[in-house]
Amino acid sequence: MEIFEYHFMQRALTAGIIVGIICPIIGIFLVLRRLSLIGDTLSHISLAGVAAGLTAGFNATITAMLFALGGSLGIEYLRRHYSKYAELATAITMSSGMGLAVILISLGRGNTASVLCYLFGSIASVTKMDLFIMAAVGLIVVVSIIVLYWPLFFIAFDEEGARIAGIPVNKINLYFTVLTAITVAVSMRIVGILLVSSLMIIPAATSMQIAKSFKASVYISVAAALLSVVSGLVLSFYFSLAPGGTIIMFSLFILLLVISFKKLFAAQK
Amino acid sequence: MQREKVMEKIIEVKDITFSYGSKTILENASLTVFRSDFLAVVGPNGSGKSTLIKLILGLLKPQKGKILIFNTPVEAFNQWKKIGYLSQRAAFFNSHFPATVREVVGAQASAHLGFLKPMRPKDWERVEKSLEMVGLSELGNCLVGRLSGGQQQKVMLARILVAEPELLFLDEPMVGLDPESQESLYMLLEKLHKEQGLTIVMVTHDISGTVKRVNRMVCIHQNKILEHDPQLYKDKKITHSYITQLYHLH
Repeated sequence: MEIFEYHFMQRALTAGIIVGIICPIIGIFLVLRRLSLIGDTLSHISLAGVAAGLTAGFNATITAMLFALGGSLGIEYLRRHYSKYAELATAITMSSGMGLAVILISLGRGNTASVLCYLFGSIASVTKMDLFIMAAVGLIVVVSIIVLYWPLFFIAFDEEGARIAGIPVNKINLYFTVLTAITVAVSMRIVGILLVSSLMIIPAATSMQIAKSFKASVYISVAAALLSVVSGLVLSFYFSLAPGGTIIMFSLFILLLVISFKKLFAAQK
Repeated sequence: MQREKVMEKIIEVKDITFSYGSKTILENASLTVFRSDFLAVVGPNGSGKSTLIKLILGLLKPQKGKILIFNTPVEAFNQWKKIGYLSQRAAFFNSHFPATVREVVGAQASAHLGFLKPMRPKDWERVEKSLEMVGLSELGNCLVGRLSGGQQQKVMLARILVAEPELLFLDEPMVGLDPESQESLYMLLEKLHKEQGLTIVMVTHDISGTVKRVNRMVCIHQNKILEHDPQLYKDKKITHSYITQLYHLH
């Protein structure tokens, strides 16, 4: 196939597969803990990181990751101060990220095109260095989720019960927010900053429609995300579409298909 | 006094005072729980029943007084595996959560293994045993959100039992259950108390349902913990309306 003859497409597809695995496995926990907004918040902070990297001449993926890490710590700090209004922590961090991003973008006036690549995703711009960082982050995220699978499941299901059972909930929450931050930062290359949280949320929402167990919901969300990313990248290549938007619209198409089939089967019963 | 000589004290609440801001909930209140007690804690809404449980579990700190669990001050107590706690909210979880009964109980079993230790076949055997104890073996692969309120409450109980605790705290376990499910849950608790020798402390509004089963009953009234002998009620020496009027229960 023509698509595989291009090195940049090989890199984009490899990156897409990594993103298609790590986004939903983080996303399923975010959705079940009703923390869907955290992905959005961290992507806004990442935008500030990208702008800082481009302005200062550093690798923007790395600066985005550092900013997202700072943002994740900020969210955890604020969450303890507003324990009864946890959404305030994400709202404040999101606004701060956006404010900082706008200032930094205005400082680096010549980089508007590069910023757009990060905002909407760009398959042509994935470098070998990006791929290396993505693979490392992907490995960290997957291994962490495997090791922390039961504590994360317990916290998502019943946080108070998890505390009483002796699980170090605060430490795990902090670590999980850090994992979310680095996932957002590396995924934006493919999906774009504005849409990265959608790739965390929509496949998870799809899996919740049909999964018969938690383990199944993790597998289904990964399958839905991988299918969306690969199909989205192929379609964007042949039809010159923005990859981020195509991936997300494909994942939405899968969600609607699943909901329709579910309704159809329910009506037949 | 005779009782204290033969029975092991597993909880001692000594002269505790606790307030939420300016509202005093407990003042110089004391309570001793002995091994194999089935104790009901009753009291009007907002009297501090759940607060008392949270204080004993160390989730809240008293402004004054001391709490010992298994002869250890609660601040220093670390053998939480010995204690099972079924919170008021336990059965009100997100019913769309895609988890099976076996996964929910398995998570609890995993937590008690110690941090980051993987589940072994014998740990899954304990999960099956606790499902069997609550009569849910057949429903292990069902999504927990699809079960009835009574069955969900039994799942929550199975979660606790998987850690093989010595002491159970149940905070309003009957809330939201139909009479049939309540009866079934009461029978299960009686069985656990009698056959497994579990010590049970249960916060409840349901005096008439509880008093027939428990061997001790305390009421939180005007910031104090007062004790009533349930036998007086069983022998019809005091009536349900006497207790409800005395403690302003509804």
